[in-house]
Amino acid sequence: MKWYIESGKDGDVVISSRVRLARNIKGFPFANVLKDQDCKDVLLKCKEAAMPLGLKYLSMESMPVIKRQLLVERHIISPEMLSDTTKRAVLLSDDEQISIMLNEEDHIRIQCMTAGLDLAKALELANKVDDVLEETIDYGFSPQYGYTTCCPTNTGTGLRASCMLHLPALTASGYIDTLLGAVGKLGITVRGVYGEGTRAKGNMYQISNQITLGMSEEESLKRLEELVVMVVAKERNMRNTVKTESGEKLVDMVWRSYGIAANARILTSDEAYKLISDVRLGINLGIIKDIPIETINELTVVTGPAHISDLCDDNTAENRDRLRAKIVRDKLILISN
Amino acid sequence: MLCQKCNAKQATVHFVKVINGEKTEMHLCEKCAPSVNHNFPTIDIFDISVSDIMSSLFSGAIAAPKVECSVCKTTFDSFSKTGKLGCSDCYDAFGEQLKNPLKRIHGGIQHIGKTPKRAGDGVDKITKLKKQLEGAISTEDFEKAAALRDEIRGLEGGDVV
Repeated sequence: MKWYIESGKDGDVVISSRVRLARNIKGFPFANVLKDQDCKDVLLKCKEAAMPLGLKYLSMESMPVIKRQLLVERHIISPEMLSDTTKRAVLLSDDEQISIMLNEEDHIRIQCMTAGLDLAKALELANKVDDVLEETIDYGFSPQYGYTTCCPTNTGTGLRASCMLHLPALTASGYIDTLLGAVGKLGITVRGVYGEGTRAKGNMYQISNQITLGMSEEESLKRLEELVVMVVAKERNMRNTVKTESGEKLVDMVWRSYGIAANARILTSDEAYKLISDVRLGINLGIIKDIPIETINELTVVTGPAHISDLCDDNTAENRDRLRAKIVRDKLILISN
Repeated sequence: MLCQKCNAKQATVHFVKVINGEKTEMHLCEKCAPSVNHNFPTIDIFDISVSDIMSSLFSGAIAAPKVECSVCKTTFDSFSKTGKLGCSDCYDAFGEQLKNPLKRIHGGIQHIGKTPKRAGDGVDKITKLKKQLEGAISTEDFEKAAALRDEIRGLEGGDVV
């Protein structure tokens, strides 16, 4: 089972945890000003250094456009990797838990993901990868500024840790906006996972640390985790409040959404995100009992626009919406018939 | 004070708007505040881009406008526009100009955390020496402090005074 289908610790709210380490190779200019030949040298150096890890090397240039977008949708690569593809590549483990973006903003961006709330395991994995690369690569490092990065917002530990959270009750109650404003002061940011702007599609939010200089990896992780645990508690409280105050309406909403999801013949990605969010909430509150949460985790990923396009022979908007509805229906139909 | 909107919860969010001398106040609870927020300008209305923030953070630091990294030739001026440095050596080249903005972004300007094993020996030594230096300063042993300072500078690749 791929890691993103599994449900981990606090999986009713926390979908996944991720740790990213930014590194640069000593003696080379940063990726944004790197000449063609240097780009090739960086790619080759990293490819060779990563050999012991047994990762697949995927050149961005030779990858079909739709596969690139698919990797973005699965959060394996950043949208920035879609441009300047000739100089970029990604190293990826078979289970997709470990990826290394090459020549993104920094030469090396190690990324490790885990299901549920498990930042410590993600960091442990990332550190192992980092140690292997460091065997043969000399990193740019300054005793004062730590691991040097292209953007000074990352220098120091180069660590960006984040958790993906499903917050339907905090969103519906409007409390999310207060929360979003409050966490900024703690050196932590919250943003929607899907789509631009503040309105998160499918009630999915990403919470991540901002401070990388003057704070150790462990301390950053601890602070982020404390905040995530607090948000998880608030979301659960709010879910319970909604359940007590308007239980019947909530049950009605969940089953309506399930009904549409399990029967619709045309589903846009926006509508699918919303319906899947409602069904996810229904399962986590025990309203829907016969659908495993893993099915919903899988649907959240495979109904994204790039995943659907990849499967669509005749790739038009109508065909994509038809295919999306069929995939959702096939997964959810089990209990309705 | 109770929330002006729901009249049920304590007001914890207070807005004061003054336009042409006319003052408007609103007192709301944290649950109601987001819903009426649009009457009051917030930062996202002004559509500030990341590069604007970066340049405002770093432009204040330009006291010496013509600083250039000797290795990659990135100028501090171009950095303050893009927010992106050109190479690891830029950190040394722009050291003084970077300190304040980095402090504003991160709160600290001294790396704490993992160090590469290969750079490890030198780095560990520097950390040790810095501790000794602090000790020497606190006991007012300035002769020893000066010697330690020079040794640290030498290890960090800077000029020994």
